[in-house]
Amino acid sequence: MIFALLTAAALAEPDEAPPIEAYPPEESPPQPDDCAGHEVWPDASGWAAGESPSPAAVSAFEAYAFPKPAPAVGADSAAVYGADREGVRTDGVVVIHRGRVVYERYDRGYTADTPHLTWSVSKSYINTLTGLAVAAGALSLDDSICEHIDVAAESSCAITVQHLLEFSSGLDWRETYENEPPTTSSVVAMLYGEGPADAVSFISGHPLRDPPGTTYAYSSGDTTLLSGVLKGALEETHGADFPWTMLFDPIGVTSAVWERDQQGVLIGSSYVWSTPRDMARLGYLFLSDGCWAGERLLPEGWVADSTAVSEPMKARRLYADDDDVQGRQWWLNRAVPETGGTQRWPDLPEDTYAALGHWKQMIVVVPSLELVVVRTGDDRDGTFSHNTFMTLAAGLVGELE
Amino acid sequence: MKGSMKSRALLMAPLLLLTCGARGPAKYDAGLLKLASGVTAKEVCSCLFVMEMDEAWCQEWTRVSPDISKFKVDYDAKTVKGRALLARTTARYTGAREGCVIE
Repeated sequence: MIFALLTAAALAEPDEAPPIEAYPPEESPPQPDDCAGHEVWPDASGWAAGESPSPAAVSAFEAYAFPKPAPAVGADSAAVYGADREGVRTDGVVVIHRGRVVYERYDRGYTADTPHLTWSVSKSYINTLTGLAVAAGALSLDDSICEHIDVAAESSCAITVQHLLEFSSGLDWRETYENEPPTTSSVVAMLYGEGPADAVSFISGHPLRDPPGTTYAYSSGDTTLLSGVLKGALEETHGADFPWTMLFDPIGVTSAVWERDQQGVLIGSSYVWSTPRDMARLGYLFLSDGCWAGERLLPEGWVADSTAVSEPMKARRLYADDDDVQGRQWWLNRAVPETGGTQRWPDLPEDTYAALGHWKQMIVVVPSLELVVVRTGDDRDGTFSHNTFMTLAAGLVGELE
Repeated sequence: MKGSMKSRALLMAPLLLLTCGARGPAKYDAGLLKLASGVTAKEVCSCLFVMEMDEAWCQEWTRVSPDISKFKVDYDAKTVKGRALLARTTARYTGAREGCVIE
């Protein structure tokens, strides 16, 4: 199947590249810079407590999210982990409604203080850092990546920051996981093979499959290449710990770990570790239009542009299902005619968007419900339904009833 | 249905080893065994030193299919050596913010 798709991609006539605009677009009307939308914010001691959900809503939610009984006291580690790896396997849930935590639970050996591997949720952190770099004047979306990094192949210099944000680098990348042979997976090679020595060189050494900006193809390579660009743009002025000084510290994240390659480049596609409570802070930053406690951190319009369907997404898509709708490193619930009109989560409001990771990690933001839901998990067999989970989670705050 | 799929997966495992491990990758340099040792070294390292779970828990969390990988931990050096038959990979914990990296 994968070979058939690659062949089709190689034979397809590439579309003309859309023009790249400066950020923000010049024709955008001026927006009032209003950061006064929310009054409740988490502080150093954590999230304020909200109203407890009804017992019936909790029971319905937990029957789905935590279907197995807790292991007996003194059970061995394999029993605590759940070595069968079957069914819905939730590790942690935090539900934030109108700035207050209304539900929280952990399982399978995790606690509120355990940083959890977020896998591709990390990509939305890279979106955020890119916005902060734009706000700092360190880069522009139409910058060639070669303005900030050395690449392995000159052809990669046609790629811009915006192309990487929109998964449209055009690099011939194979985004496959456990269900495909690992030796042909670009992601597996990046994480465990040639990649760890120098991720930027490894990724940028791939040939171009399509002209940059013409074709959407979800790619951990695009995001990690963007990590390299951010390092090049920010490290000299903001230090090697720029994710902390620019993002984590200002929004009170204390649990984050971000693993890197041997050159110090963040593995932006996959390797943020965080507690669910701290993951909720990123969701709340976006719910608050990029403001935190009354102060604007992300540029005006950044959240709206990041959660709008990207142009390459509408123009030409590879290796994507109809309900795979992306903005800029955020998954969307928009019904878009160009992508088949199928919503990813049909029972949720159309303004829902999410950071999603392997084994069903997620930060879900529902602006119309003032809701942020974080879920960490270890789902390996495909039985987990995001739509069912989120419908029941919204039920915890009396929504969607 | 689920049982027959599992049986098929078990039958496929040696075939994957033969096609990917012995003959080498279709596109990249690292073969299946090297990748398996890398997964074990890196993720056991992170499991122990980032999540601070115990070894038995981490062994289950990082188990790959086919289950051909072993690991050895040096708690003083904060390194994990992963081994899959003849292939070896070492991962090192480098700091509270940086976690683990494959050497």
